[in-house]
Amino acid sequence: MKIKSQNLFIVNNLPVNIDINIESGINILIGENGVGKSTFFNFIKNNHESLLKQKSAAFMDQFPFTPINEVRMIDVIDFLDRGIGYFSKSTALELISVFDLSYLLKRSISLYSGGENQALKFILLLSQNVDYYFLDEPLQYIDKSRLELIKTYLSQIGADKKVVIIEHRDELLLDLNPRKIQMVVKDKEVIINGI
Amino acid sequence: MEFDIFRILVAFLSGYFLTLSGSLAQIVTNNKLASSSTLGFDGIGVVMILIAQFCISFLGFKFPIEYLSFALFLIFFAAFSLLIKNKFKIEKSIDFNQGMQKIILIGIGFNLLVGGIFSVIQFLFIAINYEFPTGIWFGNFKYFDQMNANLFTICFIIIFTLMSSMSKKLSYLSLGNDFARGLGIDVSKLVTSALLLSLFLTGLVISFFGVFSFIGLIFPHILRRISIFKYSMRNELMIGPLFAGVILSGIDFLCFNFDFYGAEIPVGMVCSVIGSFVLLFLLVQKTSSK
Repeated sequence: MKIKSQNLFIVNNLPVNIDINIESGINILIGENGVGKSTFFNFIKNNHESLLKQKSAAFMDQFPFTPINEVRMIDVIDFLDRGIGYFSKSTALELISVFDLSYLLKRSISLYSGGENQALKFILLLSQNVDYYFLDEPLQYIDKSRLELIKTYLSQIGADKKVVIIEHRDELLLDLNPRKIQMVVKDKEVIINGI
Repeated sequence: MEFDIFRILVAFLSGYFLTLSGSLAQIVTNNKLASSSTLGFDGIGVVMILIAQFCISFLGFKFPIEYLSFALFLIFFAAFSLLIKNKFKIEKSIDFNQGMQKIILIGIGFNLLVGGIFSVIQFLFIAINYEFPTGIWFGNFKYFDQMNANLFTICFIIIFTLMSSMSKKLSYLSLGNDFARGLGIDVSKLVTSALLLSLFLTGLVISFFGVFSFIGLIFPHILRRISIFKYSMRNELMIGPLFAGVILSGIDFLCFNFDFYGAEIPVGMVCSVIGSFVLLFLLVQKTSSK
């Protein structure tokens, strides 16, 4: 799917011009720290119905869950299952078992470690059946044992869906044959285009 | 023991409004110490009462102070809502948390400022023998009437209906702004609506019955110790305030029936004292258990 626009939004007081083609498979968004990659994702979140032409999308952001109550993984899965049509509770429970996280089901999310939080976010993402998947730094805090599992699932969803990932350690995903999208500052504007 | 059904009703609804206000403030700021006090909403309510008293004492307005202060609060609320809608976005994407920390600090500072001004004005009014609403600093329901009971009931029906649709989105928001945004929720609009609702609820109660310190801060914490509220933000928003309303009306019932040398103990004072101890106990217990 092609996205082409001048002055799409502003980041760091610079206009962002975009000319990309998001194809099925793994697409990695690369760029220097602070160029606005996460801001771009947030822009897509706020405008995905128009930008993605009514296609559905799921997002995984880089920040951990910080609930103010004692909500547990099982509670989150239950209320997402009730509230979102494209979320599958059975898929979520199956993934929890595959990732060996069953012990976390009834533990308060506020007590999770960084890696457990990240794994939960990834499971919630995979449990949504959508056309586009956007992941912001999905591999942070992930240990080696789960890294290969995550790569396997990314490869599976990339087979027929469009996946866009921000990942500084993109060398970890090279074996998934990703397409690269770069975001650079050039001549007082930010350009997003495919490499 | 005596009871008045309208007094029980306004006490119940005030407890509902203040607890809901506190829960909303804590969810949208993602901060357990947020409340109508820490965000400065109490201060705004008190300022409106001071302006109303000034209008009555010096400008000759002939209105009951509670209705005049509520009218002034509504004017402020309408103007503030338009300002927020047209000029400012309360929430920005990435630096939202830092912005909220600043808002909380400003709110605390504003409340302290209003408290200081209140003390000065109280001194001046008393010195020149003008009537001053000394009772507002500890909320109480002595001056209830059927009209404000009707007003509160209408507001309750509207707000309960509103919360039926907002509570689901706020449940997602309680997990994080980015997470909620990823589910297609207009976080900016939701945060603005929730904060404005919190402000309105606080101003409504303060205008008629004075300041009830800590209720909006403490009751949500107490609710989260109970299993049906602990794991479900939706229950905390829909059922929790009803539960808190029952507690406040119960405490007020006791204050009404057990006076101190003929003087009714303000329920706001009782809530502040007991609530502070309860909060300290809960926080110490939680720290110890970790």
